Amino acid sequence: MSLISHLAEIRKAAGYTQAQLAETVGVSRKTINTVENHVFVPSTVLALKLAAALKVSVHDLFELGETDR
Amino acid sequence: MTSEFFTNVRTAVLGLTGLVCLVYGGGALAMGTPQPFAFWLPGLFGVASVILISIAALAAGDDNARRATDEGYVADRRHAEGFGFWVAILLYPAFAVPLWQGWVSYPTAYAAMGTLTAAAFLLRFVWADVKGRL
Repeated sequence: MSLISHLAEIRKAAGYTQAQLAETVGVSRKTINTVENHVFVPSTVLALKLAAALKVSVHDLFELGETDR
Repeated sequence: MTSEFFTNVRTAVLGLTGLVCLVYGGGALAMGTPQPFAFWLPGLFGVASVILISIAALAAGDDNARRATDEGYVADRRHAEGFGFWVAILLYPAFAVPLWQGWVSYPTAYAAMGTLTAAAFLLRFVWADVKGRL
C-alpha cells in the first residue's frame, strides 16, 4: 500500500512541532515522524485525530499513491 | 518524566538486554560451551528490564505511558515478533548439520538458539524504534 502524506507541510504551516502535535493527538513523536516519512500508515482513528488537530480534512493530509488509485 | 524519556529508558534497557543475549549466543558458539559466561546474566538483564520499564511507566504517568505504547509502538513490536519468530524457526535447520556432524553439542546449540532468538526480537524492536525517531 502506498500512501502520500502531506502531514509535515501542513503541520509546519499550522505552527506545530512534531512533539506538540504528538501531545495533542496522544501519540509519540516517533509515530508522527514515521507517518511523515512514509514509514508508518496511521489508523483511521489517528488520521481523523490528526486532521481534527490541524483543522483540515483527512484528504488534505493523505492521498493514495499512484499504484493504489 | 515525559513520554520521550520513558521511550529512551525502554529502548536503552531492551537494547542492552538484546546485546547481552547476542553476546551470550555468539560466545556459546565461538567458545563451544553452553555457558560462555554466567548463565543467569541474560535472565537477570531481562528481569531488570521489566522492573526498570515498569518503574519508568509509573513515573511517567498514564498519559505518557499510553503515548509511548501507541499504534506506532504496536506496529514495531509486531514486526519484531515476526522477525523473532522466523529467526527461531530458521535456527533449527541452521543447526541441523552442525549438530549432525558433532561440530556443536546439544547443550551449546540450545543455549545459543534460545539467546539468539531473544536477541533477534529485542534488537529488531530497538532498531525500528531508534530508526523511527530519526
